[in-house]
Amino acid sequence: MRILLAEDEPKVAEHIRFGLVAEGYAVDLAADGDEALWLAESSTYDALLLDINMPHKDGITVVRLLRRKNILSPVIFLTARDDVEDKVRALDAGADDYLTKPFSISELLARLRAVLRRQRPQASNLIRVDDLELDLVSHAAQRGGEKIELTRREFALLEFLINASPRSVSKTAIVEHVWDQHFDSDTNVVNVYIKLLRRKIDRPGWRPLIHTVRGVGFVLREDSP
Amino acid sequence: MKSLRSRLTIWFGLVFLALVVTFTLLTHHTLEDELRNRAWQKDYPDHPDWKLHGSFSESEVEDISGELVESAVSWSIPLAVLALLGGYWLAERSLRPIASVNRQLQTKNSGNLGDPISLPEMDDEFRGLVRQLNELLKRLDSSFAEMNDYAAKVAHELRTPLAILRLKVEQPGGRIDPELADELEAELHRLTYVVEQSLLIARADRGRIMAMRSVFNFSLTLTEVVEDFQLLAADQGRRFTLESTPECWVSADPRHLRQVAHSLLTNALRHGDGDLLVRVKRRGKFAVLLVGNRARSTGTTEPTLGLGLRVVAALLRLEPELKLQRRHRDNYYVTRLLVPLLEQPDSFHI
Repeated sequence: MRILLAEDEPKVAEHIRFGLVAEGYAVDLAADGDEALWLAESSTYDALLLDINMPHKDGITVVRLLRRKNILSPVIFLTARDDVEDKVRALDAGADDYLTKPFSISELLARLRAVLRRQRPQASNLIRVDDLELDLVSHAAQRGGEKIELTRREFALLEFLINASPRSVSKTAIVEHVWDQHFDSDTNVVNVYIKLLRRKIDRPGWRPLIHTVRGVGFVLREDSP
Repeated sequence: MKSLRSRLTIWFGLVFLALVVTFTLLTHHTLEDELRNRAWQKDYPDHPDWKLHGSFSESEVEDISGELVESAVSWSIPLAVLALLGGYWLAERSLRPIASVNRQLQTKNSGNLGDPISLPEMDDEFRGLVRQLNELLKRLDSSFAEMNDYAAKVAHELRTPLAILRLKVEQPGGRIDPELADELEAELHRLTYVVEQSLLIARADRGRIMAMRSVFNFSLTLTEVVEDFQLLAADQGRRFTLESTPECWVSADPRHLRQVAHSLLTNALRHGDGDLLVRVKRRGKFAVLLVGNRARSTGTTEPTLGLGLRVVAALLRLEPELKLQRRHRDNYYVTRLLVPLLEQPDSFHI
């Protein structure tokens, strides 16, 4: 999942980014409201974490402008203000949640999972396709009861494929949701990771779940397309 | 001798010496003339009728003029040294405004082209030159801004057709031949990347990206960045060596350093051949990121936009204390990024 984090305090931003990356999220950082708006308009994000007080444009203005442009990614505000009026103003602007500083990274992760869960048909932290199961809280994967060791990136890719299942997804969409803005996706990176995932998920003797759809991309489902 | 300062010093010294020599020769000539051709006369106040007339003998004339020449020769060396020192001081003083203009021009980049060059005490000769230079810089700034705006507008305008094309290619229904759809998707993706990177460069050049400094361990950041590149190198059958000093604390914008590292590694992977070496180490006052790879020896060299390096240059302009060095020897490319090192990191640890 790709997250936009807009926070003008560098230390806070790096701490949060580190916590999110450790959980397998791809994170883009914005240092002010203008940059946040520009990034949110030019890339696809699964969720936005916005500070309210930022230079150039505050978080509430950013959300209002994004909603006006029909960009509906879930938004969580991170702010030091804890007045009821501020919370009401933020939620009315189009935010999905509100977190008051100081907060713990585990609380932020839980809230993030909650807003992401609302985007999925399965409102659970356990997602599955056939006998493949992913626990989004403990970051554990298993197939047919057998535990599968995955790296952060592999887990993120698999999560994206399961969430999209039974729809197929293009390589572009995969790159947009699993990698951050720095990555030059002209490389073969998606194919390399799909190859690695296949080795772990579709072992010899197991029914293949990851399928290549020619002209489209990849799909994860029980039957081949 | 190429330095104008040295030439001015020598010219001044020579002119001064020539004047001294001319003056000495004239004095010598006049003195000899006086001594040889004019008789002297002496009066006695107690005896007004007495007058003593006389002249110098040849040996006396030669003795007196010899003393003059001897004195001139013995003073010539210290005079020459004084003349050279005076010349150097004058040259230094006269060229000070040029040195100041030169220093100010060296700091010019796309972000401060419009800031005029200033000389606090300007002579008329320099006032004209500085005015012309400032007008030139102004014209450069406005054409650079125009070019930049145009590139940004073009890139922005391209977004909509690219989005439409992408939607059409990804449209289910299989109306496009799958092989063609694959190719189209890859090309569209590449174009989108070029557009986004061009917009990033334009934003950086217009100063619309802020540097968000923080203290962090550069080695750790790099370890995170190289993960994908190690896999990609292995997929290409290339050995990827990472040598990293565990603690390299720096103060910079970590987003920019990640982007720079990505661009350098992508370049090495895409345009290079053979083994890849990535090293982070402490060298003097800097943390140095080194990326080394062999240039591709077979096949044709595709002309490229150099987008990755342009992005790097645009980001480095935002953080002037970061330095990029590129070397090429025996078909081996080495790129070094120098980031000022922090010896005493504060309590912030990730």
